[in-house]
Amino acid sequence: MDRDTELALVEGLRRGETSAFDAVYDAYRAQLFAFLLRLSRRRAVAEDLLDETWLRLVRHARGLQPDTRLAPWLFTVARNLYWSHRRACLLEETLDHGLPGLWPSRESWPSPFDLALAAETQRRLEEGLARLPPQHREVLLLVAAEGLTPTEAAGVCGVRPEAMRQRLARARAALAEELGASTGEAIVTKRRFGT
Amino acid sequence: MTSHDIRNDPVLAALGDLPACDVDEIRAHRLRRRCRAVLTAKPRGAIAASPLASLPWRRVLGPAVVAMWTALYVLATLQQAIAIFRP
Repeated sequence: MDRDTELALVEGLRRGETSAFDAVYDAYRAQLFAFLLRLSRRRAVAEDLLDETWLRLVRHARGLQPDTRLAPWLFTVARNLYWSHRRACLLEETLDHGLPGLWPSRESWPSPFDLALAAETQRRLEEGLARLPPQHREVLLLVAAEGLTPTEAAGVCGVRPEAMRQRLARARAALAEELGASTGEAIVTKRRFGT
Repeated sequence: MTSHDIRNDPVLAALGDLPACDVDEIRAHRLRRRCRAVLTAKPRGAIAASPLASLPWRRVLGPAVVAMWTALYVLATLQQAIAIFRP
């Protein structure tokens, strides 16, 4: 979403226009849900937090600053809601270590072998991500999966950009360690040859 | 880690390729409807514009009535106390 469109949508939200809300909702709903699902590892929790994130947006729509960046605003709210929920429920103790029930990608693959290989690599990646502490997971999800810049992610997490870069490097190293050498090589190979 | 490092890191780039996921259509539609309703609801300021909630009542008459009742209550209490303890 380019900056002019974003500013127009913020203005629309400030005026209470439903068309502006629809555009923002369609642009960020899946991204926010993927972030919350992978962060919380529970579909029901992710769905509830997603609802609350969007309701916060519409409740505060008229008070948004004209130059608000929507993605960092939404991810900040989603992240804060997750941490509040986590603190309230002491989630970590009761979590099961299963993978979230993700919907398959619509991307098509050239052969059943490639499909199996890619699914296996993604499964390991999801597992590795799920085993990381949430502080590392959120950094990787914000920057690598959702495409926020480290500076934007720093704003979302309430830390300085330099601290965010260090946290990202540590999270990346932790993920690589979780994945192990074989999966790491498979990912490198997959990306190099584009399979 | 710089943005350049992030773009060129295969592990981080692989995270960007993770499968998309979304809530089911019924839930997404229900949430959209709920949010639209909140967005188009009358702002609080407009609701509070009833005659009783108007400025003179809130700023002058309301506090004056409450102060008068409070003063009467305190006076009555004092009278009772004096009546009890007067020899």
